Amino acid sequence: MSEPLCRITNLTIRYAGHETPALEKLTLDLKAGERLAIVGESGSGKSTFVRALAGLLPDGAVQYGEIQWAANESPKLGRDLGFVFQDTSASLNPVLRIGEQVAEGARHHLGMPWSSAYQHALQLLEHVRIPNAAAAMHAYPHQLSGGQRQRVAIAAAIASRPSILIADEATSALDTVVQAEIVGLLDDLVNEHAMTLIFVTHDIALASNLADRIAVFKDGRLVEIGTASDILTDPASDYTRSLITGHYDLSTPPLVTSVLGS
Amino acid sequence: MNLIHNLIKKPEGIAGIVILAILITTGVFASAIAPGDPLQISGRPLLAPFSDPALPLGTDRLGRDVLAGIVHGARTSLLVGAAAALAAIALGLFVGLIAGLAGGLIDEALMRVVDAFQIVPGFLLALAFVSVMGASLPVVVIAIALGAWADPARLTRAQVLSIRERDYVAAAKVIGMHPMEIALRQVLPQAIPPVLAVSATIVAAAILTEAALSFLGLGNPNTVTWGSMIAEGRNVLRSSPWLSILPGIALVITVVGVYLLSEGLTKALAGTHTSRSGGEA
Amino acid sequence: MTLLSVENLRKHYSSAGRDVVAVDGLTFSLSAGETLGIAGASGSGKSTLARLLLRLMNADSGRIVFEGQNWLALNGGALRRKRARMQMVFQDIHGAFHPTATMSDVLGDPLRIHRIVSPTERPREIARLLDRVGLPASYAARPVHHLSGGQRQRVAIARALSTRPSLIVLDEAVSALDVQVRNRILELLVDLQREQRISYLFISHDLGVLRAVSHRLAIMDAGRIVETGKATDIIASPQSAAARALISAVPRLTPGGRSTTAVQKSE
Repeated sequence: MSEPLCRITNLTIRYAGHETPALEKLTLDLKAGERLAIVGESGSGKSTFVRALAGLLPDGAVQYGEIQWAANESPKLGRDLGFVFQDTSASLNPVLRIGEQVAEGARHHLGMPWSSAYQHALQLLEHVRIPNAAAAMHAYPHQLSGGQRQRVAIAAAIASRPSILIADEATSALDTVVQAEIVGLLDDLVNEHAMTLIFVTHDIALASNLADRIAVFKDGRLVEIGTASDILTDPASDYTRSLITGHYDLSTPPLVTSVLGS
Repeated sequence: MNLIHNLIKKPEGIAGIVILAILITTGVFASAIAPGDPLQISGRPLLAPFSDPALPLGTDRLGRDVLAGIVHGARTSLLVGAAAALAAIALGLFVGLIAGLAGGLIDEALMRVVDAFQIVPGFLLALAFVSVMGASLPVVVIAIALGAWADPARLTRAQVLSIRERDYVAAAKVIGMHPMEIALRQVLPQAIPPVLAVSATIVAAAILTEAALSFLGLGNPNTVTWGSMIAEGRNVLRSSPWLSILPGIALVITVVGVYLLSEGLTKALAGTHTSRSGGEA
Repeated sequence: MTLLSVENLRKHYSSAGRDVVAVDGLTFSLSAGETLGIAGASGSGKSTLARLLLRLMNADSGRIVFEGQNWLALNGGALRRKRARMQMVFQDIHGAFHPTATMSDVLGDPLRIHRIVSPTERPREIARLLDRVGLPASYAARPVHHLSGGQRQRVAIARALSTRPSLIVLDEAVSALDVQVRNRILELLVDLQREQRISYLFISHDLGVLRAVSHRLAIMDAGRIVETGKATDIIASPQSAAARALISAVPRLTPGGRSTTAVQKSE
């Protein structure tokens, strides 16, 4: 476990037609089996980073620096690495039935024949707690709710039993109740299958619920990285501190007191 | 305007604009290029092209100047084509806007009318109209427009249906904007671009329809048009093919020019819609 | 002093042959200068409520009394004039603003329609509005889509303020914003409320945000209000399952990270 799963050195990425790099001189190590949360606001480079890991950068993006995987071979998207997007219309094909899409990963990467792959898909849908999974197999994505679609996307991402799962703002488009359920689901799945989880979010509290380590990004750079408890109890940078104090939960003093003139 | 800028960058756009610019200039300055009435007899009949410098493209069966005919014919073709297309698009936008915004029975009724006009082939409709109403320039323009307005109407309605669900239309209602102002200032400008892209096609079709009507003798008999010249040339096709071929070439160049412009416009419009990049999440 | 009173609002529609009730017998009221937070998960009917209130959709039955008038009975020119008093801030994903509109257009339209100031005074009023929401007056000629998400929401708030309303409905208005940006916008809203005694109907699924800005809360579930009361009371001792679900779903900063999540999942 001393050898990092992936060593990233001085990674700099610039998109086509943009002068400023989206990600600048990033250096960090990924540990096998860990849960790493990447926390930052829009434009911080967090999505760029995980897309680079998954090989999902758009054409024309220029990459400097190194991504060195321990196995010497980059993990293949769909087989060794599962990716869940924020927008389910990016993960799911609207004209294919759910069963087909989830089975595809198993069939393609595990070499299962269609019948076993379908069985596997059904089990996965039950595993991600889709109600009435057998009926859902024949449904189209638009017939499910946003939260259910995201569960299906997760099922499809883990269909080929990858060792790495990347969730890129996977809950940001969902309401808080569904978000809590999805986070709980990810927690269980990652435990059960001993996967490495990289979880991108703008919500530091959400990150703290799920992660072993938290990396804070700002304006394309890594601000700090450490264990969740270290980052939360004793942040090194003012920016991290401002993210922590900016979080409104149920114990934060409210901005309003009484109604004036009442 | 961003659109024109994008248009000039595409080869189709430049080619289309150049060709049409030449044609329009020719039409506008027809009298300067080939002075005199093209219907007048200018020389010996059936003079071959390039034989007499005063009559560079030769003469027809009655001795009328072919070059004059082509140059004046350009004016008619372009005028009729543009006017008919304009009428068709205006009517299509109007009907599509009302149908899309009103919904319900009005929408249903209007769409059935659009269906009816779409089912009948445009040319036959124009033919029938001119036969009944007589062959004059305004009638020809209306006839062609009648055959062409249904497509822009359908296109506009589809756009309007999607636009009216946008939050900025709801916001306009919330601030108390009058429905007429919402229709004309918020909805219509966003519905126009796709119609603009097909407008050049409509112009091309209108020019061809006008030529066909003239060819059949249903155009205005007092003006020279490319269609009537082609019809005239039919009688001596074996001996003097240039009488039909030359106006035919003019027609082809015009239509190709319009199509190229339309291609350029479509590409330029696609460019302006996707110019906003996605960037970081 | 009751500004808004909603009684038994009901809206249903047919979908695939079934009768779906979007909003079922909603009853609540709102005082001047007060913020009522409407909390609920997706599908609880909160957005339908917003659209019914703003008359973007017709209710099937029910009564709305706004500033002492029967709001649902107004139509045509009378409705359009009265709209100045009730405004809305939308969630800005795409399409909250006309694609080619500049800030002057966006703010000028309501000023013109309701004749808030004379045409010569308009540029000055626009500058004043921009300044009030923390945007430079020099931005007036800029197209709105050139701005960042937070700046666009400030313009949306300026637009809502321009007609001098007594009530602003905010429908998930800060849900798409980064934390820091969101907090600045919330502070601005609270500030404006203190200054101008505007009431807010604040719709959100995030109880953390609602608690920060609401005096009272109404919890919605399946088209109904299942609990209502002072925000701090409901959060301290929720009575309904929906309220409890919303409360437990708020992510908490848990120093020590994962080890304490087991406690949350007992719900």
